[in-house]
Amino acid sequence: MLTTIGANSYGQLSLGDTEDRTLPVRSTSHVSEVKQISGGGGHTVVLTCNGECFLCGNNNKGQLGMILDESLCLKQLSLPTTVMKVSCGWEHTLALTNNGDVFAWGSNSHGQAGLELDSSSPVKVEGFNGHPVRDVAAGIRHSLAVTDDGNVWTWGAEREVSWDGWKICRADRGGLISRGLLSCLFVYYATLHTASSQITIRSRQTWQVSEELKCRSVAAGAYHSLAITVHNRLFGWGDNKRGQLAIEPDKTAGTLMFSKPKEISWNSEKSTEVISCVASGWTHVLILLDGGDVYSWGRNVYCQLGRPSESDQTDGSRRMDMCWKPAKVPHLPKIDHIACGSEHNIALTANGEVYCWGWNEHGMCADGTEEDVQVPKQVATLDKFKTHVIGSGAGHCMVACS
Amino acid sequence: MTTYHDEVEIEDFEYDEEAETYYYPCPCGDRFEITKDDLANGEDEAACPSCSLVVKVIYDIDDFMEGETVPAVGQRDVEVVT
Repeated sequence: MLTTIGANSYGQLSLGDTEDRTLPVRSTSHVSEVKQISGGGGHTVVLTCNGECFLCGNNNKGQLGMILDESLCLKQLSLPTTVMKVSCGWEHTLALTNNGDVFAWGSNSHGQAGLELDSSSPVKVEGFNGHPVRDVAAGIRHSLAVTDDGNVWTWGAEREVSWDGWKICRADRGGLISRGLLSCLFVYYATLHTASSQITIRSRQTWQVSEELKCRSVAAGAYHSLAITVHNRLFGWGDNKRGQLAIEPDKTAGTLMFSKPKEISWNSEKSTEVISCVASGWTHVLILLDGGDVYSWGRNVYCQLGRPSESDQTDGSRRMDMCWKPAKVPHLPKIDHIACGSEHNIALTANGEVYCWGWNEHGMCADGTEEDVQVPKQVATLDKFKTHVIGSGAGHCMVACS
Repeated sequence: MTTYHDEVEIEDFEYDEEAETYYYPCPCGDRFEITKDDLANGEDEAACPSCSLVVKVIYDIDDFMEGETVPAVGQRDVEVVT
């Protein structure tokens, strides 16, 4: 069964209404054999083991991929082939199919859908030099993909830095894309050293080519991106205003933004432990290690990092509002899977227990309160169930349990 | 004093011409909003109708004074009008 918690302004909880929930509530929708759950701003996608997609919530930009105003309950979306993974941006949705194609739908205001025109139904994203795609991730207004040759592809909103600090790249480029012009460049930060010959139609670009830096998976924050290489190295690029790239953000030092991928040393002890997966909130990052430990860094105004105040670091890496230095999240048993909302997190143990922490104004941490949850707290009301799959949208969570 | 969730440049907002309102994603899933009139009146706080968070809008009030045409996001020129 599906159980949902948190913000519900657009019916993203699939409960038939738009009331927030601070405790897990069983969804009226029946979807069996859930493989993955992903949420955007106001919408949710549930993917089954059979490769079928079910969506609910806001459809103002066509992010449900169907012609309807909104849907307060999950509805199946038919796609031409089996879907292996889904990822929701703020108002757009990506689906990776079993033959390595990417389908996109929803908002294309910043080119984030990678399509020539807006589309409220799934359209295949062209490009990738003919290589099958192995992983996808969607940020608020940008998208990432990894092809089987280990290249990372990026498209959508772009930010660039100017000498005097932050400067937002004007959205007129988004206007161009939505008017169907092919010539504009939609590279998210990371392509300065890429050969111009790599530019393809709609100007998606890759950022690395060497054998050593082949990537296996990607994650997207609000305005930053992350990639794990096959050799277990972690790279990040884009916004670092909140320390989300694990470097002290300093305007004078020019570390508020990185236009090229920067390696993230998550562990000073040079551990060889394999990173199982990386997940990103809007301005904070979690990694899950094969051994089941979770590390966090980035913004912390809503306790997103899950680290209690008594473990304050004395090396200056921690401030009131953020901690750029990665450190282990305490109070967690061995974790099997992690997911981030915009400012909150959900983690699943091998035994099927669920933990949440972070921003909780809409009850998304599932403890029945609206107080931010400082350290990971087990979701007691899911005790009697075994949870198999966890997922999160910006301000909500959905889990599949039995 | 208001604690802002973030400071956001007006160019990052999406403009709805019918509602004459600018929108920006709120972490709760709803949207921060501020009207063109609010901006013309010097208001610089965009609130979310669904939660307590507020962002400070970074903009040039001269762009929003009466008689000026405010280009929508997507058509705005890179040059700053002086």
